[in-house]
Amino acid sequence: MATVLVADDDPDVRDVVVYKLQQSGFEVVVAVDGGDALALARERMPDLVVLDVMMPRITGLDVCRELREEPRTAGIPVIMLTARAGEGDIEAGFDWGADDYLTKPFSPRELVTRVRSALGRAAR
Amino acid sequence: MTASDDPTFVASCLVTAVVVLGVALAVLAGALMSGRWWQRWTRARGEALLAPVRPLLVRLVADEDEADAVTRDLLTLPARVWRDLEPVVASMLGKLRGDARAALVRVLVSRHTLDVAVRDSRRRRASTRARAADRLGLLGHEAALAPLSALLDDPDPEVRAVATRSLGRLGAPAAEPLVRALADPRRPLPPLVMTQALTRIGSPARAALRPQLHHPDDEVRALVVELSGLLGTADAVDTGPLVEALREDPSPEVRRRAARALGRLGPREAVPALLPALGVEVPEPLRITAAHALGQLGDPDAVPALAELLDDPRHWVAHTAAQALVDIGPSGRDALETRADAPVPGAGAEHAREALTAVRGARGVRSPG
Repeated sequence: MATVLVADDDPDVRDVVVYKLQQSGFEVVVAVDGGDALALARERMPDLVVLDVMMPRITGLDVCRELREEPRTAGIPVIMLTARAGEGDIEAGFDWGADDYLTKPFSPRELVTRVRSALGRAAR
Repeated sequence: MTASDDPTFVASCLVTAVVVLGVALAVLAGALMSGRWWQRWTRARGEALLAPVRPLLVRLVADEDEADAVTRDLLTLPARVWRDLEPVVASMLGKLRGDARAALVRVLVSRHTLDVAVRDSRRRRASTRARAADRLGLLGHEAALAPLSALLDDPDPEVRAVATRSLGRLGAPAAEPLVRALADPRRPLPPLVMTQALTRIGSPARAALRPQLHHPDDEVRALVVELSGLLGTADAVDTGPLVEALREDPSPEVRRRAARALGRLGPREAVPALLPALGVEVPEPLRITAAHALGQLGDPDAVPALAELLDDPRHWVAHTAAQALVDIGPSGRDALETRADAPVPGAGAEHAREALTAVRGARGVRSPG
């Protein structure tokens, strides 16, 4: 069973994402801010990370960059899930190492599809 | 001896003042603490009340197989629980889309949130009407179209702004009422909010704008031209009416904005319509905008007309023509060099040299060494 780390400071979004991923057969680890996300990623070595961009302490973009800089975590696929939908924001997300970018408002079903797809690409 | 000279009297006054001040501070501190305690208690009570029902909400939006059963559960919740849950449901509307959002809307409509918002949109207080307009936009239900369209005529500008934004969320059906409101100068709508709403609607909004290019009011036509330039594409369906406005509109301001819109959209077909707008008989603001637009279009066919303008007696016309020649590229820069090196002195040579110097400077900055 693949493990997904979900990091989002919005409890509404977090609860929905966690429920949907668990229902779809994933093991889920939860972080409520960027610092938590980094610590849990290093400790649990998830198969994939779903990251909000605007989080307290450390932003999702910084978390993504730090994950990419560490050899142990550099290969973990990252999906950004954020309300920042501008072209520049999406470009920044990919520049900082994200594998996929999903904007809020989001569809929980689409998120699961993207997670499966990113995990499939990583496995190849 | 007066009372104010009596040291005992002065001392007692001071003591009384200190005591009164102390009591007032104590009352204030008590009120602040009670307020905070009340807030904490209310929040804790709300959270305790919601804790058992929040998982229902999560299942509603994240579990399609259970959505019907969960909807039934949510519809039977007591009114006092629903009162606390409704704002949470409404806030989730803005975070989700697709089936998840549709499930939330179904519950809100069944629990009469839509009916209440429609009723509130006619209340006396402007803040209530604005809140209702926001809620109607979030729901995005077709039944929200009529009340939101009515709010575009609201006497309060804030309410009109919220209604405009909310109509943008409703998509294509909202294009006509928005553009009709735009064409009614009695109740002005904030241009930025209107632009965002129409941009969100997209192609149907562009189609709704076209007939308004013939509106009898100059200011309305100017605004419609501006919006057409912001929303349009380089396709002839969008640029054709703008070219027509540039050539034939009786208002110089509408023609100027049409020139600017065409420069922004970039169709080469606009060049023959922009060239006559450079003529000496044309108002100066339109000549300047047309020259700038020709530079944006980048068509070498405009070079001879722009090169002639370098010696125009109007400083900004000549200056803009020089910049436009730079923007056109090599053929434009050749024309500038020809004028700069010509034996005939004059302001035209100065404009040409200035533009060329700026280009060489920019190149130097971009590629040092």
